[in-house]
Parts: sequence; C-alpha cells; structure tokens
Amino acid sequence: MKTHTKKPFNPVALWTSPSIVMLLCLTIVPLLMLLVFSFMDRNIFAGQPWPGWTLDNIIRMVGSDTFWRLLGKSLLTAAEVTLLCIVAAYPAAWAIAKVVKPQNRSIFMMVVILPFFTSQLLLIYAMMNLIQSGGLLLTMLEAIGIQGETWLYTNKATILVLTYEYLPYMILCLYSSLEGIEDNLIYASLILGASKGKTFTNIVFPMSLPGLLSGILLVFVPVAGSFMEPGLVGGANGAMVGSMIDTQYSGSLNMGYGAALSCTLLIVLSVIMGLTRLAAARAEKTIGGDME
Amino acid sequence: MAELAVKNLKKTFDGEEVLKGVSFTVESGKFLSLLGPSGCGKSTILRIICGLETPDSGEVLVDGVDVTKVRPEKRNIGLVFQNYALFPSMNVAKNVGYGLKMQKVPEKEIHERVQEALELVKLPGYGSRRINQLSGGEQQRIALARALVTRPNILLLDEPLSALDRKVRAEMQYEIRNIQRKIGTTTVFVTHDQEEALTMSDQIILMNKGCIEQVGDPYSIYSRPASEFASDFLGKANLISGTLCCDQGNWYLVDGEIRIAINHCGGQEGDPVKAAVRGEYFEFCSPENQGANPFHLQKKIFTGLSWKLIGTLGKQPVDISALGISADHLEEGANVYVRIRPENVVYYNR
Repeated sequence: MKTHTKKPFNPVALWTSPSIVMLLCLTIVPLLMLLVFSFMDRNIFAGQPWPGWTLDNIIRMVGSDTFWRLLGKSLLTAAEVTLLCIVAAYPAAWAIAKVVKPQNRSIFMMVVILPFFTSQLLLIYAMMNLIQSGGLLLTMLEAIGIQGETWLYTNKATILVLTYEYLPYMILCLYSSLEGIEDNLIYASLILGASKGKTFTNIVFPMSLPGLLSGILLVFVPVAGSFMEPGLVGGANGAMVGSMIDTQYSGSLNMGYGAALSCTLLIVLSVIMGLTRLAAARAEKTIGGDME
Repeated sequence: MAELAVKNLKKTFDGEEVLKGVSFTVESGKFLSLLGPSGCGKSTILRIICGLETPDSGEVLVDGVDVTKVRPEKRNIGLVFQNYALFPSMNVAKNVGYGLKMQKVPEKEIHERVQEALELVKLPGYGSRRINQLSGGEQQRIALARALVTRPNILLLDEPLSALDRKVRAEMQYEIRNIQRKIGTTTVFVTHDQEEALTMSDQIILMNKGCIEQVGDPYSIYSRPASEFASDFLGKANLISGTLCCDQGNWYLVDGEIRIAINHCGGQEGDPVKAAVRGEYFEFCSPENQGANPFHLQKKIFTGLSWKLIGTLGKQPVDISALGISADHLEEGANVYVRIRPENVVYYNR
C-alpha cells in the first residue's frame, strides 16, 4: 500500500545558501589560501612565474626571536586589556541590567554603543589628543597640583586605547547574561545566608559565564592581532605581532612569511580560546556540584 | 520554631500606601495564611518579614526580638518563591545544601542533612539531577527542602502552588501541611486562592487594600464573614439587601415578599442591611414550612460535586449550590421554596 503524503515545500538548503556561500567565499576560502601561501616561496600576486613549494617560511618563523617575543607581548597585552575590560564592564553591565529601571535601559545602552557611531581611527586620535603632553588630561591634573608625564607613545597608551575601544563589547556581552538572572535567585541566595560577595561568586558569576566567554572572545582575539593602535600610540617600542604581520604585507611584500605568521597566530589564539572554554566549563561544573 | 509578630507595618510605594498599619501574631508552630486579592499587600508583608523590604514604620519580632533592621542573610528564615527560584547552575543536592554551606556546616553533615531533606519531600536519590530535568511539582518540593534544611525559625511561602496544575496542587497542599506539622516550623503562607487557605491553615488573615479585613480559623472565617468584602471574596456568598424588622421578639430581614429569619446582633428596626448567605445553606422546603421563601430557578449548571442553581429570591439574584439528589429533578424555570437557618445568616449595615 502506498501513502501519498505531500512533502511541504521547505527547502532549508535554499534559504541558507546565501549565508553558506558568503561564509565559504569570505572566511573559509581566505583561511585556506592563507594556509597554502605559508608554503609558497614567492609572492603569488607579484606577476612572477608560478611559485614553488617550500618550508622556508616556517623554518624562518620558528627561528625568529622577534616573532615569538612579539607574540608573547601581544598575548600579554590582550590578557591585560581583557582583564581591564572585565573589571570595568561588570559593574556597568550590572547597573544597566539590574539597577536602571527597564524603561530607561535603552538610553544607557545607547550611551554604551555610542562610540560605534564614530570611526575607530577618530576614537584613537581623540584619545591621543586627550593624553598627549599639554593635552586635556595632563592640564587638568596639573591644575590640581599633580605633575604627570604623558603615556603617549608607550605600551601603556596602547593598553589604554585598546581597553577604551573594546570595553563596549564586553559590557554588551555581560549585560545580555546578567539581564537573564532573575532577581529572585539573588534574593534566595541572600535569604539562605549568603553574603553579597558569596552570592556573586556562587550565583551571579556562573550564570554570567556565557556572556563573559563571548566577551573574552570578542576582546582578546582582535586585541591580540591589533596593529593600528600599537603603531599610532605605542611609540618606538610599541610593535605587536600584528604590526609584524602588517609589515610583511604592506612593507616587505613577503606574503608567504606573513601568511605563516598569521596562521600561527590563528592557531595559538584558537588553542587559548579552547582552553578558556574548558576552564569555564570546569568551573561551572565544580560550582554546580557535578564534579565530586 | 519561633513566635512571629508584626506590629503596625506601614509601607508606601511611589505615593501609594500598600500597607496601612498591619499587625498580627503567629504562635509558635502554627500555620498562618495571608489571603487576599492581588495588590492587597500580602506579598509586601512577606518581603518585610524576610528582610528584602524595609517598612516605613512598624516592626517585625521573632520570639520577641526586633529583627526589622537585621539583614536578610542573618535572619534564618526559609522562603519558598512563587517560581521556586532554584539555582539553574547547580544540581539538586547543591541547591538544597546551599544554605548549610553558607552556614559553614561540615561537608559530611551537609550531605546527611540534604539526604534527610530530600526524603522529607519524598524525592530521595534526586541529588545529582539538574534543575531543568525536574517537573514543576518536583521543583516545588526541592524548593521546600532547600528552605527547610537550614531549620529556619520561620518558613515563608509566597504563592508556591500557583504555577502547578490542579491535581499536583491538591497533592502539594496536603504534603506541605503534613511536613509543616511534622517539623513544627512556624509558617506564613501567602495566597489569593481561598480554597488553599481554607484547607491548609490554622489561622487565616484576610486582607484587602493594605488592611486586615478579618482574622480567624478557616471555619469561622468561612461561616461568619465579618464584612461584605469577606463574604464576597471567600466562597462568593449571596448578598441579599433588605431592612431589619422585629416581629414578636424574632428578627427578620425583609424585602418585598422575602422574609429571612436572623439572629439579631445590633441595628434597629427599619435599618437597611445586607445579609450574606452561602449557596449551600439554602434548603428546599414546602411553601407552608416556617421561613419558606420563593425561589425562581432560571439556570442550572452541573459542576461535578453539586448543581449550581442560578435564579432569584424574590427579586434579588442568588446562586444556590445543591447536591445532586436534591436538585436532579428541578427544571429550569421552576418555582420552588427555600429556607435558611438564622445561624447561617450574617448581616452588615448598608
């Protein structure tokens, strides 16, 4: 016996194809190209004969002191910026999610995302203007009797500018998680005898982990690869690994070497993010009582 | 176990007076229900008792000690929330043991007491489950276990059954009362469901618009509502208007052809009054019986346990509730006679 059930017209493949094609062309293919370029001995776009295969780029990278030093410095800077962002963003996100009345929240959110309406370069120049010697900050400090030296063209300036740029991402991510925590959970914790600090570590923190993790991802990764900020405000010793990669493409036109450095940075960042995720999952389980 | 007293609690939110001087006492080990429509201030009282809210004036006393200014985490009060408020990031055992952990009870003892508490709420072996794997009724029991495991002085229940379906709710009513009797914790239960309040409580406080309307045990509060609001809110009594009248030493409420015998308790002949009579207090009788009043049946609705008979007594609308055997034969549109015993009538001045 045959049953004739008409399948509803619901071509999932058709609806998702635009985004799949975009993802393939703009993300997957370039990444693969990057990987392939790492093993080429000449620049493919330079009009020279078709390049041959080589391991020279990899060997040169492994032996390069500068690269590993700059990679370490970049990761450290990214960690510092991420930490500063977390510390600054938690109270702000908490205030918007829990203290501000729901009808006023959109105003505060607007204030947080306001910097996105300005070009990144402009934000950096504004910050430079603020902290340079003779700038607003130092003049005001001088007025109240504090003599200071400018941070401009030091690594501190890089950290400051990067924190300023990426703070909104962290606030938005934490806000989305904190907003979902019911007030009653916090009250329940208090009534069961937990202090406010304990309530934070036991209830609020684990529940904000998803937002914190996406915040870390959105801040740590781009900061580790940043090159514009260190170049503009970092001064002579400001270079980070991003600057080095940038030089391979824009300066020395050594595309293969640049690709090898990029791939390595990508792998290192992926591993760090993976480990962070594992650590978070472990912390969640310990607090949740699933690991005894 | 402790005696709880609140004295003259007042609270205003945004210019609106939510509590207008509420005082009551719960004896040690008793089960008190705060009953009232939403917005009557009952939840605010609960929040003041556990310290999540501070009253504008008035005090909360536990065993005679003023705790009004004590922080919530220092009060040793158990609270079960309407939506349970179980911690989603923790499993059942961690949830139940949370209060003990905060009191720095040794791990081993926490484990034992959590097991005990889970047995008390009849969910032994649930310790390692996740909260989102539990049904509503189970979450309710876990929330109760979490509130009781610290052996609180006072247990507060904030409409804990309202999210459950009817059958589970009936089970939980019985269960909560049983557990409360067993461990003897002084309990305050907030609800807007009169049936819940009547079945569970030692004492009911009926509230309306920030004031106490009536205090009493379930039977007396049901059978002798002290005000029009009380008679309407609890079981929806019929309100019959008329004037007081005295005939040979017997008092009656009279309105047109109706004459209802009452026990006199104040008021003079000719005073306009309203009498409250519950639907189940009407009895069918023959016209020549003493106290018989004409009832015209307009509509008959079967409710399972009884018939709801909608009609008029004289010219006034009343609902009579009658058991199957006495109302099965009645047709819609019938004219019959009913009488009411004077002890089942309460009246108020209009």
